[in-house]
Amino acid sequence: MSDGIEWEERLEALLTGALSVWRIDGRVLHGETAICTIQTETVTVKVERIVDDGEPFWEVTPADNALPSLPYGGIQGMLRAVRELLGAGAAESRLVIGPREDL
Amino acid sequence: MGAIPVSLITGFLGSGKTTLLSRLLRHRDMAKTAVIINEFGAVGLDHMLVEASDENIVQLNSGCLCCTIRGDLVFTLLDLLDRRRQGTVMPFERIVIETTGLADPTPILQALMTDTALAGAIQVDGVVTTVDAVNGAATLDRHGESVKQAAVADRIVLTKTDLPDADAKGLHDRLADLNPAAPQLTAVQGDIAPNRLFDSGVYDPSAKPADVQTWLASEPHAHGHGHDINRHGDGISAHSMVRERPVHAVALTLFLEILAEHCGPDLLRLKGLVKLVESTDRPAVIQGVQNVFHPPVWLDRWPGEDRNSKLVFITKDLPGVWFEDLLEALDAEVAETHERHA
Repeated sequence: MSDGIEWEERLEALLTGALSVWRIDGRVLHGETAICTIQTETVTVKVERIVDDGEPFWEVTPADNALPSLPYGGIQGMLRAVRELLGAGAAESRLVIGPREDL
Repeated sequence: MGAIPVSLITGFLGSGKTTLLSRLLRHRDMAKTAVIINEFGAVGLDHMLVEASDENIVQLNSGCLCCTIRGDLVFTLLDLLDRRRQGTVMPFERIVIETTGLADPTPILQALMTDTALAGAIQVDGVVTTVDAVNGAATLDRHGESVKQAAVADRIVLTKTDLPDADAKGLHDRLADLNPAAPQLTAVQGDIAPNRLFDSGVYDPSAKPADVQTWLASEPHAHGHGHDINRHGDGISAHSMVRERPVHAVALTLFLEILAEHCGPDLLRLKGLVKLVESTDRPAVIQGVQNVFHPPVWLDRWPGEDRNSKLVFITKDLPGVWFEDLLEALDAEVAETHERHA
């Protein structure tokens, strides 16, 4: 079961912006609930926010079913999975915390 | 020994860096300053043009700091600090690095902020960028390096404003769009008091809340939404975000991690004063250069009446609105989790 309309809008905005950040040409289509489908020239990926009795989670599904749907507990993991499925490669940067002594 | 403040002076070729530095070094407040001058080519000239004690000037001419010799910079700094400890150089209390005119300051900043050997020995004081009031606009049009130098500055110094062809007003407006957080100062023939350029406190915001207020309050496009100002041909834009509702600390951490992971080098600078759910009376100051972030610092109080979170992003080809969408989604997700566990 997916939850609210507000998540549908949030997810669409989030994924649309992410495509731009990743320099990927594509479009984001949204369903009636918190489901979005990302289409590029070569890949289609479905992203859904699932809410059942437990903790909400994100499910990322490649449309060709070559890979199983995978659950992600938060937006961070979901974005990383979508990026990799879309072929933008693994994340290139990791957060580096500068030494506190600099402050 | 306390941490030695390190400042960068950058600016495009001919923009007046050396004139500024030379004049500054005549000031008695700068007497205990070590200078590192980075020059392209085998024969450097700038170090000859700077009038100061030779023993405290180090010339780096094996390439441009930003792209080839970051290791050399760290080595040079460590060597300088070692010589200071041994007493073979004057006991300097400040280091100024003059970059080449073509340098990108961001990797230099990264090196200074992250090198473990330098940690505790130095502290980044800020970036001073010179922009020539006669040729500055054309330089911004033609050279991406100059746009980046201005975009990441903590202080912008307009030079040559006394010349007949100077267009300080037009340039001022353009620079304000490009980097709204950086105060713009004027120096004719390099004449400016050192305390207007250094000890800015931008990397030590807890020491100078007034300065934090300055770089946030100077933002002219803070209307509660992101604002793209991309007129520079290089995709470099300033985006601002103003947020009334406090942010959960976990959401802020996730936000910074995702920015570092997905935006990386395209996020040139980020400065922010953030109201956290867990600490609404004490705002957190965040600072980032590309994927390097300082740990947040908590101010003792808000620097003014305005208690909204404010973040300023200087980016290359990134959609500013995404930052707001991302933070909003992360905070909603964290809030829902808290509610479920309440």
